[in-house]
Amino acid sequence: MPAPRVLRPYKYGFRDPENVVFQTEPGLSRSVVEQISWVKSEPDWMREFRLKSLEIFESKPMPSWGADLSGLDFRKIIYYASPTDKKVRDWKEVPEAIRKTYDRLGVPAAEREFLAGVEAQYDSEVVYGSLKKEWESQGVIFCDTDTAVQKYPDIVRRYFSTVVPPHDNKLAALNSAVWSGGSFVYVPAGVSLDMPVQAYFRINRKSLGQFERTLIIAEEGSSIHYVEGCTAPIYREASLHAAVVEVIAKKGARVRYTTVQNWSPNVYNLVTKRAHAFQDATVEWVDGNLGSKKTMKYPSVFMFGPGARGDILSLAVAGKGQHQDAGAKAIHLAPHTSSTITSKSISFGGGRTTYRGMVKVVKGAHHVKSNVRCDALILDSESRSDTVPVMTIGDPNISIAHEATVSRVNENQLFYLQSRGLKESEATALIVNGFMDPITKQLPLEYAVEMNRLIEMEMEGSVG
Amino acid sequence: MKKTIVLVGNEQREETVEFRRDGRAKVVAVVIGRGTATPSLNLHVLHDRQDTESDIVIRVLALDQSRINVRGLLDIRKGAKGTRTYLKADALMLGEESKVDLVPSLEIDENEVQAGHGASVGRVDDEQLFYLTSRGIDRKSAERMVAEGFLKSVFPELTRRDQNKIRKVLDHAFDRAPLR
Repeated sequence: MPAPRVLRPYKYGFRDPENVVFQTEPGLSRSVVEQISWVKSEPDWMREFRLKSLEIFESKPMPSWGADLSGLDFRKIIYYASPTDKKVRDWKEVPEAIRKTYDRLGVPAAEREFLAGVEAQYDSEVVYGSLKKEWESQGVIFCDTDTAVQKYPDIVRRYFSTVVPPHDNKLAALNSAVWSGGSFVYVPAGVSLDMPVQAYFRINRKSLGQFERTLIIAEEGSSIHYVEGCTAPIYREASLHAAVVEVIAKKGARVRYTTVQNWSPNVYNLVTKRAHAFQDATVEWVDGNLGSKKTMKYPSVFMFGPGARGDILSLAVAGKGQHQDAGAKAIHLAPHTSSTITSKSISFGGGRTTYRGMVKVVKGAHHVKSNVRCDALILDSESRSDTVPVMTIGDPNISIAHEATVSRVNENQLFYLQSRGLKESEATALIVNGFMDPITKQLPLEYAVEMNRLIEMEMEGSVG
Repeated sequence: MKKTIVLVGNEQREETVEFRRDGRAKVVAVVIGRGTATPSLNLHVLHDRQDTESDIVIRVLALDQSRINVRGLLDIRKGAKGTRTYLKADALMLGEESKVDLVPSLEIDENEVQAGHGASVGRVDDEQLFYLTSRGIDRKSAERMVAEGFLKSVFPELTRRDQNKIRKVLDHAFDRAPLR
């Protein structure tokens, strides 16, 4: 097998002229946080929340486990920049340079085909948003979080940071201090959104961090499928993506949150995603991690009421220089709840994947069922894979099962395909795509297609 | 090489399994928690040579208010081509106040290997209990039978001393001799 490529060409590695209107100086301080709040004309309660979070961030140590974050310098990062000061509703009105960016990323095509509404974030501001009229008439709110703070303060104040409080972890505290953009989705009781709602994120400015804060509230009996995918161009300085996603699924509600992350290989992707599922509610996380230099992300579902359900599908692909430290957490706080976690990871070209998961059952949470399946594929001898599943069970009346396998590409399967005329890289790509199938088949079509193509690209570079 | 580990008290044990002369290892561990005991087992299986095999079976029985902690690490270093390893950990929780913390982990630095693990935590199947009690067997004895059945498949691997140790613990726990 020839040596893997030194630098995998990043398909989305292009830049835009940096036409930013306002940005803070590099580094983090009280005055930076106050400037951010001032630029957004925020009410006092939000400004105070940010400042308190900054104190918490400064008092907390970095995590001592997980991916190696020693290359991250918080003093060099620019925490806020806005590209335009106007919000637009139609594609035609979006500024040319930004439109070109999304054009190359294929957003207009997606808009035509599958999606009813697209929220696009560019450099910390949500620039474009559009919502189908029928949703608006049903009382659905879909806007960026900044707007929500101004227009719907009561709802925001009621739920913001109730799922991920600032003291939860250092990166959540950072996000709480400097968050900007992100989506706010409120679905009234009984309303079902049958089309995926989508958002794109992108880091463009050198050393710019992305700190979007998303809050999704699904009232009783409602359902929604939210989809996001993001890319970023290559820069030499480290870029940081420290987002927080909070999901509240009330009684009988159903929320599915799909992410496909393909950040360029210099980005530190440290995200806290958590959902509270109440009685008979279901939350599904579909989490695809393809890019970034280091990812630490463990979508979780906290089940608070009987009948609640959490399903987490996690996909991690790590190439040279990458470490995907991903997984899931299923926390059973009520009886008669169930969870499934399925994780597929692939490491090649010296990449490293780690599955880190937790299934926790507290005393009193009887009749809980949980099933975890994590499989890892290591393609070559330079790569590595770890699995750390934690099961903490405090009630005996439960049934928990876990299974993990680690293997390489099956030689017989490879031979079979090659003997039918496929090149080794094509055969490997086919097998790897098959390995990931349980997860890719849960993705919206264009993501599944993009995912398969990306894998083909990776395999071409590393095999044959 | 065969290694058996039996923890029935309040022991904290750390064990490493390495392959010096032997290329194959079978490890059988039984951890029984009683009363308010908090036994803990930290098992590290290290594969750093080529073509070694290991098969690890762990059975955990949590009674009363015990709190049991088991960590089983399958560690495959770079260069350990041809490694085959599998760990199975099963925990039976009989005590209403019992707690089990189970972390079977894998650290794999080599791709020409076969590695896996499986774990389960649960309580006695109600159907099994019903079957026994409907035949006139009292609940305590029925539970003991299920506990014995749970450990039965690994019993033959243990030394006579360990087998007796376990029987004694079960006698105490269910405070009666087993039905014959």
